[in-house]
Amino acid sequence: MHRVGRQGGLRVDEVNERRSHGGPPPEVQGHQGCAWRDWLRAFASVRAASRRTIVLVLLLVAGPIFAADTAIHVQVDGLACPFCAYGLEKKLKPLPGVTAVRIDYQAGWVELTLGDGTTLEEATIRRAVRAAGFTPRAIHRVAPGDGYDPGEEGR
Amino acid sequence: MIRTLAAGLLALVSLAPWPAAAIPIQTQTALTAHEGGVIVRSQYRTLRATGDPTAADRELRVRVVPTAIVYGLTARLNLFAIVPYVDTELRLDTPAGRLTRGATGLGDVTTFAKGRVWTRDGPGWTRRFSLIGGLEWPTGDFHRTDALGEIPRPLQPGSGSYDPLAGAIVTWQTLGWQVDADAVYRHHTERAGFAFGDTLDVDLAAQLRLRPRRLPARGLPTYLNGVLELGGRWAGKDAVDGRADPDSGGHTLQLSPGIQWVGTRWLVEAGVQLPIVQNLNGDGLETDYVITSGVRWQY
Repeated sequence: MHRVGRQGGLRVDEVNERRSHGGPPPEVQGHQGCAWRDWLRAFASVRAASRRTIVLVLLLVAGPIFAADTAIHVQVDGLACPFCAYGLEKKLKPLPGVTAVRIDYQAGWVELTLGDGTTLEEATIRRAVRAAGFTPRAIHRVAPGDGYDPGEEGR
Repeated sequence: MIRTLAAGLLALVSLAPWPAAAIPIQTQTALTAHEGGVIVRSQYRTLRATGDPTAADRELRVRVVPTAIVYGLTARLNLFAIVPYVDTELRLDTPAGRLTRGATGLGDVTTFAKGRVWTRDGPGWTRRFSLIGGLEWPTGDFHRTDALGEIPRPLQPGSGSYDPLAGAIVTWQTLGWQVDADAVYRHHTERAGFAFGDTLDVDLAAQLRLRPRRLPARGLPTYLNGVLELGGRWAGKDAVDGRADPDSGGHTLQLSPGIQWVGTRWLVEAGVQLPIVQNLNGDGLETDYVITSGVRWQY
């Protein structure tokens, strides 16, 4: 019988199609369906002390995720020639979570675009700027919906 | 023969390029490459010296292709190596007719370190002070011969000697202009009965951004810079078998206009050195000009 329904965000016939071709079932791809109930049941079955530990770990992990920035603006002093600016781009691009670097040369600002759910330590940014040969000044974190414009603070 | 050549050939040793992070053409800069950064700078330099006060009517041409490599050990300490390829040619009248002598080959490699010891950074400007110290190694051949026998030492690609150098550089860079000044002393040691005189170079360079006239609100622009440099050199007399050569040494002052096209990873430049003062000892040849063209690329 050809069943048409929903499972894990996919139609059941799509699920069966994937399974028949050896592809991963949708739940493996991050579609949990009613797996939450299973999680809750499992959570309730563990000891109280273990539950507290799990909650603590979840809070520690979730904190940085929910506090993640979308961009970071770094004021860089000493930046006065395009040939010198290359080192800055080179040092900032490999930082974890950085997806793009834009140097606002005239204003002396660098904008780091961050990947979803990532954040970056201020000390790491300052170290990278110094390794490029410049002096880091103000660092402004831009959260979603912040509407912050570094140009207003730049010269 | 050495006596009549040496002074005019002082310029040969002055043809080594200064591999700068940025940016003058002849003058050093206190700016340094970033940590882990590599800058390769290659030039083509050609010198012509004439005006022989003697009956030999000497005419000297020197062409050098120096390649300089800079490595940023840290953002404050850079290591340098300059590898020159040298071609010298001297024409002169003799009782047997007009002769040409010269040699081509690898010159003396110079290695040195530059340490940035003082920095003041502000928004859109920087002022820096650096010290350099290093050694010129006797990698170039200095025993070349031609039909007339051994070629005079100043025409050889290499000096044969270990020559230490030390200097200081100061730079003030802004978004619109830059000023650099350096003083570099080079001590030439003796090898096989010959030693170039010690030299002191003092240079001053000014650069002005010609294009773009107004910087864009966002992003990194490409610069067109006008460069004007003033280079002074004091050179001691060469020593031949322990005796000072009276036809060598002296002091010169050169004015060097130039132009540079500067991107974020590359730089193209050209300039000409024009002597405005040439106070040379004895019968030294006077430099007519030195033309420089070059590229830099950074990784």
